[in-house]
Amino acid sequence: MKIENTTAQMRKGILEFCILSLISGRDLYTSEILESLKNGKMVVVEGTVYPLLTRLKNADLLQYRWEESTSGPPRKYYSITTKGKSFLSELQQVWNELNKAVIHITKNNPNE
Amino acid sequence: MNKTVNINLASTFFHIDENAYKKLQSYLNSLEKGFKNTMGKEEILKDIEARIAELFQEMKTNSDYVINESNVEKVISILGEPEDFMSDDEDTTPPKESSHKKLYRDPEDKYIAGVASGLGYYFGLDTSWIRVLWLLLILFSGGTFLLIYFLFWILVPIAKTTADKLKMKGEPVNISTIEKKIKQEFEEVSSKIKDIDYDKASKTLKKNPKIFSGF
Repeated sequence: MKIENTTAQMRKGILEFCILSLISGRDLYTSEILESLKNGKMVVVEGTVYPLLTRLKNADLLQYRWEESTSGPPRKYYSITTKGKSFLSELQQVWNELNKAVIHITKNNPNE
Repeated sequence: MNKTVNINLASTFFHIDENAYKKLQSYLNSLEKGFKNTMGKEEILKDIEARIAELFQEMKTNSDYVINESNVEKVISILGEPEDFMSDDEDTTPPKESSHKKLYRDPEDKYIAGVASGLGYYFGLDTSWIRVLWLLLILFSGGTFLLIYFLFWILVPIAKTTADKLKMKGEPVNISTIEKKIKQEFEEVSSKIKDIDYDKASKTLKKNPKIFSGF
């Protein structure tokens, strides 16, 4: 069993939550989202994020608009929808519970 | 000497040398293959192309800059190879598993040729009933069904491989079921080895001490 696989699985599960959370703060274009995720060590390769963004958009949790850029191709700016906001608050709640539970369990485990 | 190609990525023009172009082309092809079963594939690929254009733009130091192979390699390392992010993505529909049953003869459970047990799996019936039925049919048909039995014997293949055995039982053939099946067979074999009558074996040895006296 490889540690990379397990950590990748862990990250993958909370990646959507992180993306929604980032975009709920302010509208972001793809590269800004990628930048934040990479700085936060949430993704290793950028390719992971594209299918997720498209999926969130197709689920009406996100929407986008095009904006011209002075350097390079036009940018896709993402913003969160109302549906996305309620989805995010549910995820936030689950995350808080999970976080507590994991800390509780791993702390009290004498085998640690 | 190296040829330079002009390309248009997400409505941005780039000069790129031939080797770099080939590398980029094969990368885009591999992405397309990787996202084959993903919903919104077109859009994902467009987004990635736009990102590549953006990264190239950052690498350009002047307007005549020619994208070279190491630029492309850099971009690929940033975006990642398809296998880095395609594994067990929920969007990908798993390839259709053949789970329909196929008629085989079972070499592990047989009196004569395994025809009855194969039929048992196929129709989901207890093998014993099928054997009784065969016997009755052969007795009352005056040999016609004996001929039919031989036809089955000849025409129905024996389940040789693990995949055959899974198909015979109507289980989907994939890595996990094959692994399960192999483990199961391994356990059967090891329990058979354990069942070897050690008492009997030691008695034979005692009776014939000469067997070991040579050592």
